[in-house]
Amino acid sequence: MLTQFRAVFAVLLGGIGGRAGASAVTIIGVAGVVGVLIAILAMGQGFQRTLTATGRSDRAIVVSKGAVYEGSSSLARDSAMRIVSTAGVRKNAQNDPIASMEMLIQIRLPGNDGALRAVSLRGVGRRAQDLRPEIRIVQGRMFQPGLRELIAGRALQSQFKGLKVGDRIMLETGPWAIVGLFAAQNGGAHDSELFGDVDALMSAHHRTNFQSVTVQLDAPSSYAGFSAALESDASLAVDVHREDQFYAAQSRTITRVYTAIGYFIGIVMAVGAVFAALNTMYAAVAAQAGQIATLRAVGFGAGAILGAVFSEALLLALAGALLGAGLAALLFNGRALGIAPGAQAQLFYAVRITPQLAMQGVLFAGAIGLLGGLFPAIRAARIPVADALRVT
Amino acid sequence: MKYLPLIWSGLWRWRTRTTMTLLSAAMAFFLFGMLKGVDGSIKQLAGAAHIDRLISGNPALLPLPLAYLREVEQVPGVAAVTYANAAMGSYQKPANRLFVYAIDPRQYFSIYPETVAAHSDQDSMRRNPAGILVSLSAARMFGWKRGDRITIHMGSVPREAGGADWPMEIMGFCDYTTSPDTPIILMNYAYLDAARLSGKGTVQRLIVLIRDPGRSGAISGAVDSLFANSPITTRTETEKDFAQAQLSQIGDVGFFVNAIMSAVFFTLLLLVANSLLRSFRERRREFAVLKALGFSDGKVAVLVIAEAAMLCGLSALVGLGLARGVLPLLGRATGGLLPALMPPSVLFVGIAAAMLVALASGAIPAWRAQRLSIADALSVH
Repeated sequence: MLTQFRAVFAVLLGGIGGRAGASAVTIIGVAGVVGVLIAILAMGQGFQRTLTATGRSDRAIVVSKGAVYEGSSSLARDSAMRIVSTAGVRKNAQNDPIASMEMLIQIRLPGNDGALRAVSLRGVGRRAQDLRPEIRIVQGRMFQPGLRELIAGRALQSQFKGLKVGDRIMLETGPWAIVGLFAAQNGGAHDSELFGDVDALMSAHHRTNFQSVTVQLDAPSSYAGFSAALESDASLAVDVHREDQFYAAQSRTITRVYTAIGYFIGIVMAVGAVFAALNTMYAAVAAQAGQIATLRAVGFGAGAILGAVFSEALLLALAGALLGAGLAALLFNGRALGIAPGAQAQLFYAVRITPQLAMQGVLFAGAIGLLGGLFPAIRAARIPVADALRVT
Repeated sequence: MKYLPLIWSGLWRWRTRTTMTLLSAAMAFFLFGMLKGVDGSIKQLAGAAHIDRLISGNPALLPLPLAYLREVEQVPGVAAVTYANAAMGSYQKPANRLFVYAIDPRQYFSIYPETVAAHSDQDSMRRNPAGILVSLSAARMFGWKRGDRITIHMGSVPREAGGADWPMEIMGFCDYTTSPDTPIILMNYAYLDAARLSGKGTVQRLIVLIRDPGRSGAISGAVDSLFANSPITTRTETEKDFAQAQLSQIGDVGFFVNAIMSAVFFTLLLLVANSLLRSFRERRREFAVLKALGFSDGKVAVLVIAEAAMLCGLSALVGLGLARGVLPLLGRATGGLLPALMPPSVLFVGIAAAMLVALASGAIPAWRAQRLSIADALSVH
């Protein structure tokens, strides 16, 4: 059986040179399907990875009731003070709660292409560095409290030309100096933000209300007590979220949209590719009909022929999948994309073509190869020996 | 025209192959129709923006005090001001999503002339606090009639009395001419504001109708300077700029559509060219016979191109027709979030693209057909 299979396979492949055009069309068609599919899926995953990397389960974020995004939340100063002094918040050596009352506004800055884009400007409290140890200054220095100084996230800086250390940007109330560049260990949403001293920013923007309060919990398990204490207080009217879940929830819808779009486009293209593969394989079978019939006449089984035709279709699809995944990796890997979820400022994230994604592409291509090989394989196995051998 | 049957039978000489090629190409045009359809109707929506309307909101999306409205009305050049409050609602089950706009029915319809409602319906909505107007699409979708009492769940707008279920009574209908498929409810802002738990006395945005669209920049500046020193500042822009800023949130749709479509059309070109070339190779003798019968070289070449054009044209018609049928389903599946009408321009551009593909892929076989020598092709080998 195996030797028979090998012989038929060799016959089919022997004819591949004569059908180079058709085979190339199949390979390129499958490559297109796989490339587009995994590029779109990678965008969704990159976004999810970035947002998930932002939060930790031992931190909690407090926003006003019903606010899904920080931007639509507003907390008065006395509410914020009560939140940071609630039981369950970790204290440092000086007995200060490790927490940050934060302001978040959108400003518009010219991007590398010159167009104005929305950017998040976050005012953070004095304990923000203890709160988020994953964020480190990689160039320049930290801003000084009370001064008109800002530090910029690394992902943001790569997209906006005016954000180098030493540059100045104009806010509503005058120039602010960029004194440092920061990076979060695993990327994350803050990498696309500008940080400054919350008190300086709030007085410059005539604001009295914060957008959110983020606290370091004593332990991940302190969350239940902390959130129960705040949410039962009707005069506060706040929602408490574990930080990781808060960011994961924001990424869910968009990731789902990307996945749906990726599979929709992928499947439509795959249907087209199946028809192209059918054409190629029918042609392969027709061109080698005489030889296949000869093999049948000398006693080769239908199974071997079926298997050989299938294998050629799979081989073409696999070659296409590898080409497509390679192209997607070449074009998109490491590319930073911007997206603005829910009317927030742009968030930049890197696209990564992972081996798992490439595997998904190969499986998808395998399905195309199977479908494209099925009917031609059946036809090949059913070639009437006498007819095919009569005239060649 | 008299050669049409000849081209037609040439096209269907190998029925399986032509069918496969046609279906494969049709998928490319289906994708083109879907992507350009969504992209185009989003752009059409942005293009429908009125130049005499400004939108004023807080840059950090904080709600604006309703008291701002009276101040903005005093700005020279302003004809009228109203407000907009949008929330997502659902009817009976979460999947039945719709948009709920809390409006002031005394001003809303004059500032939004594209929202059409009978005057008697507007009046009855005004008289009943819980009265609403529903868009024709929503009425169709949920089988609503005038006088129906319904409950709409608005998760983001909790009630003072607890829960987020809002009882409403349908007083009539409105027609959203710019997005006829989107399910929309218009409710009284006063009713919403009196019963909601938080954010009382605020609105999401102000809509400013101005007398002279040429002065939109100056008026925007005047409005924003009113509140520059308030805790809640405003950013005022034309409806068009606002729509474009909203569009940029979902990323650069146009770029992705173009990138995907170029990959698809490149493959399509190879596919059609390969199919035509093979078909030509197998019919060399037939073309030689045509020449022997007195067809000129040029005429034979034109026949080949015409066959390519017929193949691509048919594919485009099948694919674009399919997209036209599927787009409204997509609109319904997303609860009207995605506008779902294919702009006619997509059809024209699609057919034009099909003809270009036909010309490019038919060029080599046509050239070969033209140079075909009768003696060579008919000789027995």
